Amino acid sequence: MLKGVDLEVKQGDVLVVAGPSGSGKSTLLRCINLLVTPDKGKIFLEGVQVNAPEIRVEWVRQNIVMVFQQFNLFAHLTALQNVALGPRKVLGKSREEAEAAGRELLERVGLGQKTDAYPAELSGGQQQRVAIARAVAMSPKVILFDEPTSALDPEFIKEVLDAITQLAKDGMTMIVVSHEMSFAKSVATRVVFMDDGNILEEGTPDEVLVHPKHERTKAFVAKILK
Amino acid sequence: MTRWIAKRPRLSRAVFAVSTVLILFIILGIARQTGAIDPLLWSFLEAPLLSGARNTVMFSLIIIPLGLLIGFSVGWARFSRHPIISWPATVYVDFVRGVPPLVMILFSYFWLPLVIGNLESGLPFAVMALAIHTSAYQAEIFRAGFQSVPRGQIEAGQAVGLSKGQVMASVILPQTFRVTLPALGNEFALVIKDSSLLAIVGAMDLVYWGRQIEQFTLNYGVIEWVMAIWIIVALIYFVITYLVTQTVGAIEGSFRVPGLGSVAF
Repeated sequence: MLKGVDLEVKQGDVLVVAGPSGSGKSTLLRCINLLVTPDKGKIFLEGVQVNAPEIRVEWVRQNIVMVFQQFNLFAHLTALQNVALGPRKVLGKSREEAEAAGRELLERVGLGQKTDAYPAELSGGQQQRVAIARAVAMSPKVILFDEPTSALDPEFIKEVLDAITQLAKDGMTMIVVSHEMSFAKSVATRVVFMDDGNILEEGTPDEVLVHPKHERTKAFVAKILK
Repeated sequence: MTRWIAKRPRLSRAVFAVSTVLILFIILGIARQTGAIDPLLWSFLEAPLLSGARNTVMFSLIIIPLGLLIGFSVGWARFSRHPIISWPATVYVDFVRGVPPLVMILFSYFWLPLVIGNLESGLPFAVMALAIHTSAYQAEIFRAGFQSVPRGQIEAGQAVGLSKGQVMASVILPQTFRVTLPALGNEFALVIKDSSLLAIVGAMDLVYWGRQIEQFTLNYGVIEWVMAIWIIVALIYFVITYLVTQTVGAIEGSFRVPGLGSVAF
């Protein structure tokens, strides 16, 4: 449950949202791409209010895409078809176009050999990288990551974080809910600490994670870093 | 068919089914030639049973698609999150599943025409009753299929901008068929067999003619003949049902996804 959030994200920002369970991090993310309807308040993308009733929710979601904790790949489609589905059905690209672009994206995340594999045949880390490719394929303005590595075996976390880091280097605007503090420190441009539905602290990774001001932030950071 | 079908239907299964049916015909032919079935009896049987088989197939060809259409719609309504849509569907399913098909046939055949004012033939109403009957079961089969698709995938579809309709067509439906086909094959077999209930109201299907010939041959007093009649009728039902279920089984193969679920053979 969110109690009042005021947040601004600039293009190219990599915003990491940290905080304890139940603090509202996932809910915040889901409000942004309207998977959850906010009761009050306004959300703007480049000046357009996205939660206004007259705005098509599908338009919002092709510009603000999400990568899920549980990957949520389409089980009946190959990796390539997963990546190509959005561009074909939503962006109206032809199959050849979408699949060519999809192959390239899968190459970039290191899965060029696995284009014809089904999700059930892929490891968790591979599935998540396909999910990332699927998101990037929509040429979105923002990518939301909802605890992208929390469901992964430790051996796969690095490959997924590497893919996300590469996206950051390429200039993608991202909001990442994550517990991976070292990732936050090295890749994030801004960090936000949430607790109990509110944003407690906001600033650069150094400000929030290394020199936190609030008691609760300090306690949280101490626990995570142990 | 679109590209998400994993494999073509396996040829071996079709070959197996067709050869089984052929063998049955050959056995019947041999029985007839060698006199295991009395040629006299055979002469009584041939024409009526063929006519009856044709009618049975015809009834099935009407009832199954109708049931599919209604069942799919009702199943989808059951799956809806809006009570205004799902509640009537639930009532429909619960009610229809609680009434024996024979009762529905008798009711539709005798009394519905009076109410609706069509005094000509009650048979279409009786056929419709069977379609309604199977639609309730198919509705549940489809609902289970829709619900078998993990919620996360539906969210993921929405999260890349797919509309509700696109999510239904591209994400939910293809995975639904994988789950519903085996149960649907079952239901189709049941429909074919339940169509025999129409004989009670005089539809001239296999069972009807079986009874006619049975009454007729009782005059000859040969018990073996009566047994033979019903064995042959059963065999014909088997052939029709078998072909349908094997076809469904072959289509099932197209929807298998590598890595998902165990494969029997």
